[in-house]
Amino acid sequence: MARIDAERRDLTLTVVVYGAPQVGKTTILHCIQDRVTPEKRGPLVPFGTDFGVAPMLDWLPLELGVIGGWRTSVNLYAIPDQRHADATRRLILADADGVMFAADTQAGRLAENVSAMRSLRDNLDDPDGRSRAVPIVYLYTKCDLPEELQLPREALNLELNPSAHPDFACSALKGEGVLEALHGVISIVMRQYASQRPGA
Amino acid sequence: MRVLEPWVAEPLAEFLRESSARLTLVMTSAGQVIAQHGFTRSVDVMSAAALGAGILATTDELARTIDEPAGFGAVVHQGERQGVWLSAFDTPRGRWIGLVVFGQESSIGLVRLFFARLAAQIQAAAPPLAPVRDVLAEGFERELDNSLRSLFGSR
Repeated sequence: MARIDAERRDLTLTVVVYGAPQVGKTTILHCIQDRVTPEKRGPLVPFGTDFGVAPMLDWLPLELGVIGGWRTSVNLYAIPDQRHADATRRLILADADGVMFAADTQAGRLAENVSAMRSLRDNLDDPDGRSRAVPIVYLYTKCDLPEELQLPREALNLELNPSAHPDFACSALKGEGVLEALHGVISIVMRQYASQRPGA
Repeated sequence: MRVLEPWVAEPLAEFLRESSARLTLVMTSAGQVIAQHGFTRSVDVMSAAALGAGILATTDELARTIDEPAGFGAVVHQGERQGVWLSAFDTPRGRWIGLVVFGQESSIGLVRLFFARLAAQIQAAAPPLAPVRDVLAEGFERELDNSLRSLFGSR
């Protein structure tokens, strides 16, 4: 949930990039780091690189500036794949205000995408099993691959996104679609946040 | 020493004087920094805060998993030349965390003793929290749009 410091009027949102292994979550963060205004972001910090090849967690802080009198920032995290990082995953998702779900468009990766979506839903549930409604956008990655290797967007939405949340075709390597998806999730989170508050 | 909440300055200065700590960080349980002493680069502060908050959150989760309602108290790592003390305490502003790095000029005992005093003094000094007023005021859409344009300005 958003962190609020009422005295200093600071608002900090948590947005999580989630998806199947090898879908390109860290590449997405690098893409965002490379393309947003440099003065508006901190360094991309990989945590726990000693535990293996992939870091346990990637973190990119972004500054949105003052919105409605509140100095607003976003902590953007890429969640680890490793099974031993279940606790990390749960802790970060418990704090999430929004999720960017990255799904590989390759036909052969559909089962892993479905499994990752199931794991996301499980991890978003609170300890009593109640599901938490968190704004989500879909990034269909690797759209720069040949068309014959990819599933159509409609088929991906049918399997992964039956509630028709916003979806974006993207290529993190080429930098296409990623910022649009980030723009989408931040807008949705901020509007939802504003609508829940008196005087918004 | 840098503090974001002025009323933390005096208790923290006393703690630093008495404990001879090399580095000290006071933060919220979510890792938001309240005060720091001894760090030289801002990224070090951010990393230490995030890692410290993560370690304590993980420890709390472990306590919950094994049904230890009282939790584990402080986490201490003693190295060859330096040690790290990590402990949470309740304040009127919520649960805060102290991260203390100490060397051979100090000891775990000193840090424990004076950290307990620091926590009590912060608890006593915290002014009442102002009620949360309207969180996002008029002009929200315009300001959101401007902020996002500014963030994505280099597109």
